Amino acid sequence: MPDIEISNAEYYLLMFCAIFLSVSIFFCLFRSALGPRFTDRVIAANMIGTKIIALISVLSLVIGEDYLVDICLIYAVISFIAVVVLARSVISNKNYQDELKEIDA
Amino acid sequence: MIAKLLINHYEAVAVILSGIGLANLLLQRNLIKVYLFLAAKGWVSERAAPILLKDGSEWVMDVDKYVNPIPAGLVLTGIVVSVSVTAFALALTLRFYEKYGSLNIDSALSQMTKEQEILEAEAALKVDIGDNIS
Amino acid sequence: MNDGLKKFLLDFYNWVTGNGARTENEDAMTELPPVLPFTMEPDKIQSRFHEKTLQERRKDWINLHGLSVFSILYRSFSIITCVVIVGLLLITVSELPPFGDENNPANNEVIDRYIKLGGNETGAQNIVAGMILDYRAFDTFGESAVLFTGAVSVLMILSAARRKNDEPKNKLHSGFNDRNFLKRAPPIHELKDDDAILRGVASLSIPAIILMGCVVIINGHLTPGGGFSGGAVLSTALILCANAYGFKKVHEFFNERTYIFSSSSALLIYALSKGYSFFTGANHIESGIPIGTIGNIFSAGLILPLNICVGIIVAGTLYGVYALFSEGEI
Repeated sequence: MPDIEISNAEYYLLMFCAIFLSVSIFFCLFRSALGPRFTDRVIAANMIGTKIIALISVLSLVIGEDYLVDICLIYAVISFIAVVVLARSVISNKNYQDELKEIDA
Repeated sequence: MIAKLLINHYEAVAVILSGIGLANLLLQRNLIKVYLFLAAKGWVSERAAPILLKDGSEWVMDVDKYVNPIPAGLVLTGIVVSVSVTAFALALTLRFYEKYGSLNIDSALSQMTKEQEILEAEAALKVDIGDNIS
Repeated sequence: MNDGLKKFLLDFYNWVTGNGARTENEDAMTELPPVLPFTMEPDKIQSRFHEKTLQERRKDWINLHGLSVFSILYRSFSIITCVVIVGLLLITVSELPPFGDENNPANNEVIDRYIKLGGNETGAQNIVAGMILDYRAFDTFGESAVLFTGAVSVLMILSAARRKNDEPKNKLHSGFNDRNFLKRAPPIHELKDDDAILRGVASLSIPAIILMGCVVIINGHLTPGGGFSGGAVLSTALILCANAYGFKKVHEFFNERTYIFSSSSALLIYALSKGYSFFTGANHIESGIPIGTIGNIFSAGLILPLNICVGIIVAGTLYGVYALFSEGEI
């Protein structure tokens, strides 16, 4: 496949997008490490996944290869299932602790 | 030397990360935090240096415009092996927790020494009783 | 045998091993001094520093200061060791050839061969897939075997049936069984509330995810992907089904027997079908497997069936490990 030629201005714009996205991913990492509640961490993990999808799309435009978009789909599926499993496990643990408190009390 | 380090900054960062993982392994008392860094260390150590140009297509085979494909295979093997090892190590941690009641290595160690003493006392006692009965 | 002989042999045995009555005369035995419970202790504590022997001084110092000194020494030595190792590795890194240079020893003639002749010899458009499944197929076989072995070992450790029989043998620790944190929480998938949103989304997305996983596996030799990532996506579909509809539903069609049967047969098919290269390569015979034109789906010889085998193994392993950790059984 021949390269899709992008102009200089487009190239700089896309690089700025990529750098901005990576910096915001870094902040999300902070939140997932510091967040006092588990909801903070779960939402931060999901947000990192979404931003990586955007980053890969931008990268595919810069390089000019079209197969990187398939990887975006895989990332979307994996981050979705991660949030579902995390939420279910924490909720079940919370229900279990509540049941134990009722039994003890 | 530092100038050369900055050129190869990927590998320098990889080495520093694995060093942090090693320090964590030695100093941590909680078993779970050890595994996170071990998994990262396994992936990071496999990295080699490809040419950053382009990647796999077909009929343009004569020109060497392609990324080195061999490190991709090595990294794939590394990821797969580290996934299996992580699963196995976490299963062992689960059994460890069920047996000793906590993930703290120091308390588990004191419990282990107590169990060892009890087993030795029972073994010594059985030897004495057995001979007297016969 | 009469009784006298038996008694003689018993006494002889006791005399040889040193058990039994030492003397028949109890007057000859010396009496041990009476051990009073707490009257002996204050004398030891109140003994002055210059009255203690060297051994006692050493023991007292160890009891007082030993733990803190040991912990400080351990931490400092571990940090020093890590810093030294990292420093040595950094010195090594600085001696490496520059990143991405064309004269690196890593870019040798093997890569030339793979890139120039890879397409025509393997028939794969994706050079990486052609490499790991045709030139280096043995490595991929080893990886699949490692995945299967990992899942089987986790199965052995965590199967719930074995764990019910395993009780603590020491009565000292039977008290731990009463504590709450050792009781296993009820499995996630037997929650009482049916989540309507999750079920609705899952009923729409599970077929789509399975379809996408199959596409990624089958197009392994055309686009990036292949067996490993496609298998991961397929396991995602299984995990979502278990989360939304309960564990029993998945257990109807994917239980332990199915997993072991499918993984073993996939590994066997991989080994048998790729084993031809041991004979044809050594004897310089051309294998009769068609390679086809590059760019079609049905090309590249055996890469498509091998991708499917690897995908089955990966999907089963990832879902199996998840089920074992949350349920105790597949």
